[in-house]
Amino acid sequence: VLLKRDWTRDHIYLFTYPRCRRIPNISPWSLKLETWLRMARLPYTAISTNFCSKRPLPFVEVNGRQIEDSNVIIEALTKEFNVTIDSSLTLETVSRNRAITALVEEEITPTLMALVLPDVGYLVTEEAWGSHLGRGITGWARRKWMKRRMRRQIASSVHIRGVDRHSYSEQTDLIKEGLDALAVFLNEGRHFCPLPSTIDATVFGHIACLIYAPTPDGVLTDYVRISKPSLGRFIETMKETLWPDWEETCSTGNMNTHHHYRI
Amino acid sequence: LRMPAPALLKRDWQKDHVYLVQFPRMGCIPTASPFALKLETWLRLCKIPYTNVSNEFTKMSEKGQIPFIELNGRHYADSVHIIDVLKHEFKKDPEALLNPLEKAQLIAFRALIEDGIFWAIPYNRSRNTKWIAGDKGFSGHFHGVKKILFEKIMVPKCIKNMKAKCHAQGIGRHNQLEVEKMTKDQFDSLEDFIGTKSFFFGEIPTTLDITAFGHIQQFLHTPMASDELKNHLEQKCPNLTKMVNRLKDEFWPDWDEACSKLSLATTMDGPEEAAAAAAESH
Repeated sequence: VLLKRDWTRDHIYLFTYPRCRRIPNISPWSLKLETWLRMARLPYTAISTNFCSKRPLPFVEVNGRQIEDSNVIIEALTKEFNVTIDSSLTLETVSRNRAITALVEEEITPTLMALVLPDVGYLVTEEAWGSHLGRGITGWARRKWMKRRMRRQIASSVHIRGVDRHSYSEQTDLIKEGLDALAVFLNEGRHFCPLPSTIDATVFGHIACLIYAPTPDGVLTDYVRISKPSLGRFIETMKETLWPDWEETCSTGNMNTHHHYRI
Repeated sequence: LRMPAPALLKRDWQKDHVYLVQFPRMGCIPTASPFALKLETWLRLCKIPYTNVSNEFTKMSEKGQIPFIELNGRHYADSVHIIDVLKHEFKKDPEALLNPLEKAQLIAFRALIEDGIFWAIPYNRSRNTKWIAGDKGFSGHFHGVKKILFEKIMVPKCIKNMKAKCHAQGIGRHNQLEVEKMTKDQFDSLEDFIGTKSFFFGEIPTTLDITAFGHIQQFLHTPMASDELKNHLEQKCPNLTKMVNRLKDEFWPDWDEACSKLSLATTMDGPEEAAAAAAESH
C-alpha cells in the first residue's frame, strides 16, 4: 500500500528519518541514497516517516512502486531513469567499487555501530532525533521507547556480524584499517573514479556519519581529519557540491530545502 | 559482551604448536565452515605445525564462534585475529611484499568475500537443509538414538538460528533469485580482479586467495538451494575456479581421505604422518 497516494509521474518519494542538527541524516544508508539522488539529478521529495514505518528505512515510492534496500533502489532507479553516472566505468573499476562498498557497508559501519552502541542515547538527544519526538510526558515516553528499540536493533545487527565481540581497541583498529584502505583508493583525488560516481555517494554517506555523529572520544573523527586529510577533504567537497543546503536543512528541519537550490 | 575464556581443551600442549578447534569432518567437504577451511589451509600454506581438535559440536570460542585456536597455553578467537597473531608468533606473512594499493585491495576484497559472498552460504543452507544430517554431512559420526536426536533436534535448531541471522543481517529479506543475482555479481567481481593471474596478486598465494578458497569451495562442494551458483562459478568464473582448485590440489591432497574417513587427523604429507599425528593427539 503506497504511503503517497497522490504521486506525480517520474518523481521519487524518499521515505527516511527526520533531519538532525549536525547532519541532515544520521543513518549512513539514507544519507548515501539521498546524496546519490542529488548526484544523479533525479527529482525527489524527502518525507519523514516519523519513526512509524514497518519497512526498514530508507525506501522509495516511484511511479506506483515501493522499493526498499538502498542498493536495490539505486540499481532500479538507474534503469528506470537512464542514469549514466557509472556508465563509463571499466569492469575493473566496477569490481573494485563493489569491494569498497562491501568494506564500507558491511565492515566499517557495523563496527562503528558496535563502538557507539553504549552511547545509543545520543540518538534521542536534541542534536539528533530528540526534537522530533515531542514534548512533555509523551515526549519522554517516546524517547525512552525509541532508545530501547534502537538499542535492540543495533545490538542484534552487530551481534550477527560478530563485531560486538571485539574489544574497543580491536574495533577502532579495524575501522582505521578500513579508512586507510579508502584513503589509498582515493589517492589524493577528488573522487574515487575519474568522474563523480555512485561509489562517491556510498563512501560519503557512511564516512560523513562517522565524522559528524560523534563517537565518545572523537578518536575516529580526528583520525580522518588529521591522519587522512585527503579523505576529510573529499567529504568536505562532496558536502559543498551536493549539500549546499546542509546548514539550512539541519537548522530548520525542512526535509526539502534542495527544492530551491541548484545542485 | 565477552564470554569468559573457556578452559583449555588441550591440557598437555606442545610448545609452538597450534591446536585448531573446529567441527568434525563432513562427507562432502572437510568442513562446512568457510572460516575453519580458510584457517586450516592457511596453516598448511605457511607450514605451521598444527593438530586438529574436535569441538564435539558444542565447544565454541570465547566469542562464541568456530574456529578458534589454542597456542602456548592461550586461547585465541576470530579467524582474522588468529591469522594476525600467527603472523606475529611464527614470523610468516604471505602478503609482506604487497604495495600499499595491493594491501588496500586485499582489505576491500576480503570484505567482499567474508561480509558479502559469505551470507549466501547460510541463506542457501537455511533453504536446503536435509543434507547436513545425511551422508554428505555429519551422519557418519552418529548411530542409533544419537543419529535421530541429531537429525530431528540439533539440525532444525541450527537451521532456525541460521534463518534468524540471515533475516537480522538483511539478506533474509531478499528472495532466492535476488540473492543468486547479488552473489553472481560478487563472484564476477572476484573473477575480474584475478584476471589472468595465477592468484589475486600474481604468482604467490596470499591470505586473500586462501579466504576465497574457504568460501568458494563451499559453493562447489556443498548442496545449495539450487545449482545456479555452482554452475555460474564453473562456467562464468573459470579463472577463479581454477585458482581455488589449484589450491585444493596443492594443500589438500588428503581431501577425499579426510571426508571418507571423517578424520581430523589426515595431513598433506601422507598416511604415515597421519597415523603419527593420530597417535600423538590421544
